[in-house]
Amino acid sequence: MAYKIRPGFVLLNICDAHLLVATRPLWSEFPRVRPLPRLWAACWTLMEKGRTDREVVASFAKLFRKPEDEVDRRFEEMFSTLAQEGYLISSEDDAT
Amino acid sequence: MTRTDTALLNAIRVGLRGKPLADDPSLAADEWAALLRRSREQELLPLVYEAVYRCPSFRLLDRSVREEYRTQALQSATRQITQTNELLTLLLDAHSSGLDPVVIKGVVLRSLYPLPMLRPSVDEDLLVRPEEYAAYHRFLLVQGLSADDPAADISAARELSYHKENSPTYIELHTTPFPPDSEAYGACNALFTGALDRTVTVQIEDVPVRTLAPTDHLLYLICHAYKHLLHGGIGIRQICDAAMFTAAYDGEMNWDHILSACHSVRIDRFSAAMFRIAQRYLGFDMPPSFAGIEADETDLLEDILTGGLYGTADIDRLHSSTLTLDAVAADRTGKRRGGVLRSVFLPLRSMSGHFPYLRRYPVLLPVAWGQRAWGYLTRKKGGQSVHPAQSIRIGKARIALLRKYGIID
Repeated sequence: MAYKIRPGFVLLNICDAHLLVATRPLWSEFPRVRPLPRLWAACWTLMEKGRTDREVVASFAKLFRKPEDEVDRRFEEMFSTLAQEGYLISSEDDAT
Repeated sequence: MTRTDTALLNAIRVGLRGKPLADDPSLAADEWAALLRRSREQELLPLVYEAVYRCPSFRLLDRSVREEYRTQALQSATRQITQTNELLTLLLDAHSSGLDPVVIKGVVLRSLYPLPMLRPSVDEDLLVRPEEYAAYHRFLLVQGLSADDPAADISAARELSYHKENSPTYIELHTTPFPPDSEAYGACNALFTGALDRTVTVQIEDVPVRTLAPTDHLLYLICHAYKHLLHGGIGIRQICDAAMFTAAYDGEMNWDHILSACHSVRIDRFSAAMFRIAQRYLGFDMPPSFAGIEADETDLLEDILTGGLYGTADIDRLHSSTLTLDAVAADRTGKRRGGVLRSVFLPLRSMSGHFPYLRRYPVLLPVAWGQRAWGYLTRKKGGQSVHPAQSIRIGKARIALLRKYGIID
């Protein structure tokens, strides 16, 4: 499945932590701050820069020197969690 | 000033500009622990942590201690983000209901910081006209907030606080900038005559926020610092707020008016000392109107650093406030000072806030005095017990500080 960032969030890097914060149009839906693990924040940053989820997986496969399908399996949990919580839009949701 | 104090002020100086501390102060682990503790006492932990955590020597501090402070800093920052969002949403709802309160301090000041969530605020202050009070009270209740004193007489209310369950939202609704019956600083209200007729609107995250005009707002920040000086002490955060506000609105200030207003309530030297601290330790410009005023800032800075924000670092110091307030009240009214006994036997109007039953049964004033005296002797804060002799000693030292800055004769 393909994923993309839902517009309207800002990733803050403060006090050695990474926080996803909704901008005003999304406050009522996302009133709380969402902490992100370091690796997830790195992925988010790449997606913010316009990389697709496939390109993100490829980048980290290269960085970790691991096969892409192995990294893909590890990252799927992150992508699906963020999609379930509403921070990412999956191709399935996009089609509907 | 210790190495820790110097490093703390440097961290605040760069933190106010959204930068990390570039020069590692090379503190030892116990000095880093003291710096973080002090930044927490000053309620600036998030801003300071963000400025210092990259310093190589910071790693000397035990990992569990670093993690403890980091967690607290993050909790504060995330709470602040939610608080800001909820307040701005509340203001939008107020606008839809035809209400437009004047927001003072709080979110208006935070918005001037490079990372607003790193500047903690506990409450948000709204200033409204007395005749509008009931409408705002009803609005806040409809919004799901509860008045902290449900028995208060709304028709006569001048100041009430409201909170919301499971939310950081905490609102204080005022009809005057300062309690008018305070003999020590109630006179400051006269400086704000007509302030509600000359408000301005600023945009915070696209939400229009009505607030005091810059000259009134800076004057309010100074008077508010003065109020806390009398109560237990000001914090370095109040200096930061005044300095950040001055830097943001310098060109729009009527400095002659601010100076003359400060002079009229005898806080011109105190204000100059505040600006001097901002200049010498936090890297801000000294307002030219205050530059010529003789004011040695060192004693005020020492008072700030030892007391924590609002003097809350030391319970004896908090209790000493009755002496400082009494000294200023006596100076302003010409009455004889009540001294130590007045600390316990306060007049009815000063007691009814903490003992609401006095509003209905004023005859119970002696009972409230007894409760207050008992509470005074048995109260603990952070494991500290009250030591009356120490409170008196601190009170006398702080009265000398008031004399030094010309607040009293």
